[in-house]
Amino acid sequence: MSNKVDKLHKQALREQQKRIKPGECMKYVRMVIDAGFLGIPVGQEMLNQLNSKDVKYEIRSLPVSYSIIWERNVGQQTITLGTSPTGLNEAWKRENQVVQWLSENDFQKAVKNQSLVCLGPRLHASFPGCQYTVALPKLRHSKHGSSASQDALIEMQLLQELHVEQLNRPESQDLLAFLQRYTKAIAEAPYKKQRNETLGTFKKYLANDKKQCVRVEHGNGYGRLWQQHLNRLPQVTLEVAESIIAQYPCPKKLLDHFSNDPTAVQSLADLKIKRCNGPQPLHTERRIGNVLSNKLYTLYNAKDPNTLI
Amino acid sequence: METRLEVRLREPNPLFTRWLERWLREAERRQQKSQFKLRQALESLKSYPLPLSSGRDCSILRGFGGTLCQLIDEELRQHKGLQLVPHEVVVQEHYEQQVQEVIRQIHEKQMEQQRRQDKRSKPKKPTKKEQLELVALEERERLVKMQPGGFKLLLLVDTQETSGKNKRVLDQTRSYLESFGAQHEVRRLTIGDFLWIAQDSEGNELVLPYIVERKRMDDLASSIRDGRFHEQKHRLQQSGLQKIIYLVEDYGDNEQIGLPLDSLLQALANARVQTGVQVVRTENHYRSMSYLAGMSRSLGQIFARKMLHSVDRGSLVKSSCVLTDSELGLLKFRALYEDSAKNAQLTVREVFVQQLLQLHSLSLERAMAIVEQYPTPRCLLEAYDESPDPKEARLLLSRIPYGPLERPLGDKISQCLHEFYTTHFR
Repeated sequence: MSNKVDKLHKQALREQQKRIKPGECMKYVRMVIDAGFLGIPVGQEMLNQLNSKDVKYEIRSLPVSYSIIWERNVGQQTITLGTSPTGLNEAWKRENQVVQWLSENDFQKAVKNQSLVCLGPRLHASFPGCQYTVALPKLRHSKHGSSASQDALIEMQLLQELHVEQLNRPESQDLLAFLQRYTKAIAEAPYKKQRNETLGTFKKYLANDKKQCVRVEHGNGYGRLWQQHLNRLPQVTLEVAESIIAQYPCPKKLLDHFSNDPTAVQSLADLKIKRCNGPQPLHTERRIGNVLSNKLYTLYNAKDPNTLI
Repeated sequence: METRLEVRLREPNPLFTRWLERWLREAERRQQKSQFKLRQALESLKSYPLPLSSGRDCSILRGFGGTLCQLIDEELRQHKGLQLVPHEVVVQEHYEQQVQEVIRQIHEKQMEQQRRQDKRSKPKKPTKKEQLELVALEERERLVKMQPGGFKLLLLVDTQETSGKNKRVLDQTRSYLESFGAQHEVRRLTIGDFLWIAQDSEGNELVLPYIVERKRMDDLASSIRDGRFHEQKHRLQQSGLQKIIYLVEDYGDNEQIGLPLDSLLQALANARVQTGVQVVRTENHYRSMSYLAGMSRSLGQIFARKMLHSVDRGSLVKSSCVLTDSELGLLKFRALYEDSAKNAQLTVREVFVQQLLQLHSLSLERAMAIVEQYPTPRCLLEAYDESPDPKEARLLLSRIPYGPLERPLGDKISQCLHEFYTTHFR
């Protein structure tokens, strides 16, 4: 019995993975656009262009005029009587992004009568627990640096924690492009979140290094892999790595050295670095040195993963 | 402790000197012509620092002609005849005695100095380095509190900020900010281009939870191309400052920036939606500084009536509302600076993961799964040692599940790692 449960569980996971994959995920996310857009030129132009794009959307009457929200098809279904042949409907889950569009007039009016402060609270009330973005046409700057409009924007960002997107002209086109970008970002968000869960635990950003990785085939490539391993320590330069490898051509040799020789750290520290250019007047760095030797010892002998190197 | 001594004999050739003086006096008395040459010889002998063992040796000196040297040798022969102890031995002994005396005197002087020093530093004074460390430790531990009105806000500008990374652009930044009346200070920041601190009269500095990263469009494009963008975003998130702001400045008409404009805008949308970063776009450097000045003003108003206290990064409360809370916990500037230093030390776990990633078929997810079971190389090696037989050891890692689908790692990777760590390959 548990086998069947396992199987279903695995299946569900696979399905979920498929849905969040970049590219595929766009099919499972849709925009919900406030019906108010139908009544204004900007809205009509935008909707016209939207029809020729590959983005799913629905028009609905939303609690805040000229707002846009997003929903994701998570693969569940709800029972609905009467509206569908199967009696089931796709369940769409609300995403936590909200965009509100402001016309230039509305914005200027709000700046004048100081009603901009109500924007945030209204959005919070209608769509609690979301991240809010206000889209408005690009400000025309006054000749002298700052202006009431700019200050108003700053206050929106700082005080109300709203994101602000300034749209270029033609407005409908820019608004559409902006909404498309948001749709893509929202669609891919779960995938990115999954990836970042592991990365976030490290102080150092780890995922970049794949350019130099080593293919090991039929036992070949271990040597290079060992060199790459040593290079992970910041103090290990090419010459240092080569000198270590000359003495310890495989990790086992180094590990044996550490476990068998009581003065292992010291003798490793004293290991001479072979310089490629022949005898050099610099006498300072001809040894591996105590610092690096200790780091290597720590790396291969510590049992506490949080030990600092 | 070794001390180098330079010993110079005051009278390296006392015997010869005496004789020459005697002959000179004779010659002067008798008003002989030889007195001139004698005088010259005497002078050069007196200037010569090394002992001479015979008249013949003296010939190297000025004023010592053949006759004079012979005279000296003759006198020497007579002198030796009278001595009981050989001449050379006497000279040598005399010489040694003098050197020993000098050594003794110097040694005494050194002892005296040491005694005096010990007396002065009786309570052992900590070295300057130790003193500095104590001060730093005290500063780190101390709880800082600032009352409303008891601090002033200051905008910090990173010395390395601006895309041109040269002095001219920094000067431009400063002059713009000054023209907007924004109080600021240029400092080396280890994270971000612009920060705000609250400074009190005692010099304590707490960092406001806003951090601004200024990026011109061409910079943004190049940092996305070489991967720095994500690393930087990661570092900003790790800083502990909650409100991250990307100040993105146009580069002309944004046509020659190195990446399609749409890609950049998508990256910014992703940053907003997925990371919660604020994105502010400006048209040029002037407008960017205008924006910062405006932010300084607004922040000044917001924080005027707040009470601030210091917290360390571990106890930062994420749910605190910067705007409505009347009391806020903030990081100390010094703590932030040190934490964010790029050369932050790595842990064994981090290096181990990076090493594992070097293998071609090992993805980050797989590496994480391995490290979850065996957090350090030593743990893995011990597991290999404790394994009942080599076959088991080779497949030790193969069944570890990784990723959201929990697939097993597989035999290939397990065997590869086992062979890598336990065999003597060349």
